Amino acid sequence: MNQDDRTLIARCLAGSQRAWDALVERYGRLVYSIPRRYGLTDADAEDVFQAAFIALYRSLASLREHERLASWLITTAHRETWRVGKRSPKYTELDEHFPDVSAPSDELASSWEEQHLVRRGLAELGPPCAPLLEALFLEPGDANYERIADRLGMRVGSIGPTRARCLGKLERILRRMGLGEGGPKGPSE
Amino acid sequence: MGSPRVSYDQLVGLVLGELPPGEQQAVRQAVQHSPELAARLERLERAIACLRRDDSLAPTQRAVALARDVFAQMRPAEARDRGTWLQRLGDFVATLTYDSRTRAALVGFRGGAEAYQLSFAHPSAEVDLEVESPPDGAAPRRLTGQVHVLRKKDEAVTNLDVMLMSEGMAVARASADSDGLFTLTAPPGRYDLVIDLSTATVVITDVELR
Repeated sequence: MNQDDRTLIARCLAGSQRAWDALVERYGRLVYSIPRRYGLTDADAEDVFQAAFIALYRSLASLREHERLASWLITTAHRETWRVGKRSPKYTELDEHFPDVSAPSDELASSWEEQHLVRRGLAELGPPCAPLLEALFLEPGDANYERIADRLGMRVGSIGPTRARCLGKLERILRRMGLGEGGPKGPSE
Repeated sequence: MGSPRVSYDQLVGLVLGELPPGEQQAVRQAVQHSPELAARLERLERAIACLRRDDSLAPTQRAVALARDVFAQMRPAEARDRGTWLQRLGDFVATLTYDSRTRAALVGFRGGAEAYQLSFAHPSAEVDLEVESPPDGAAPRRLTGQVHVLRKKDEAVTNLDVMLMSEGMAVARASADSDGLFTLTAPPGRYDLVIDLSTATVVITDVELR
């Protein structure tokens, strides 16, 4: 587990609500996206979200030994998605999505974990790089440089060089986080 | 002969298919001859692919509120089991055993101290800290420390990293030398000092750099 997570967990165990809020902020998107990807409604995804964080709270003391908090949360949210989904008759196709109830496939879990890592990298980048890369790569459709430049207050001609510089920074952050060295891990590990 | 220099512009251009054929070939050749460039290219490709296929969703405000409440609602119940709670705390958090500021106050010194010392104990290590407080109130403070690892027999500590954290973010990092000595610099404030012993993590909460 990376050092930032260890510290947050230690501070949670010492009673810090702010540290807990930081964990919710850091892993919220990762956890919430899992039930939504399986077609659960917002209301049911909120139940999964809450259940996953209750499980996290109960496991804080033992989680130090776990290699990666992200993968633990993926497995937990996956299992809770199945449990919450099975309670409702509206998810008739749920079983087809769950060849293994206990955990998603390695491929899927790695892909979600990698997405989470890149999102964390973007968050660390901050402005002006993060909004530019989001506009260029995360928004649907082809990137319209004029519109992006207008929205972000940039010159159209500076988008290309800024994009390369920002991707360079993101690549360095992801290298520090361990991307490409046997799978994602956390910063400074 | 070294590989030709390749810029991030060119690597990005290669990933996005924006380079003219000649330049594309030159960059590919350079990548073939440099494991470092190849690793960079792979990370860039994976990052861009991730961004493009990102289907994640931000949680609703209600979901976030529910998850935050988990802590507020469950912690009092947890605290009732005081034995377990203290045991868990002891797994991480070191205890203050000495504060030179207290001693100075007892013998009548007031303020003006240029440095103060703190000592902490943990089942895995003892930690001595010294904080230098320069007269300039806004100047960065220097925190020097020494970690005395309480080793089990034949247990070697090969790597000892220390980190000063604020709100979950690292403000300063260092690796201790073979004697466990380290130095960190940060603006005045309150921090958590995290010491990674590989076999255990020691957290010293609320270290004041004043």
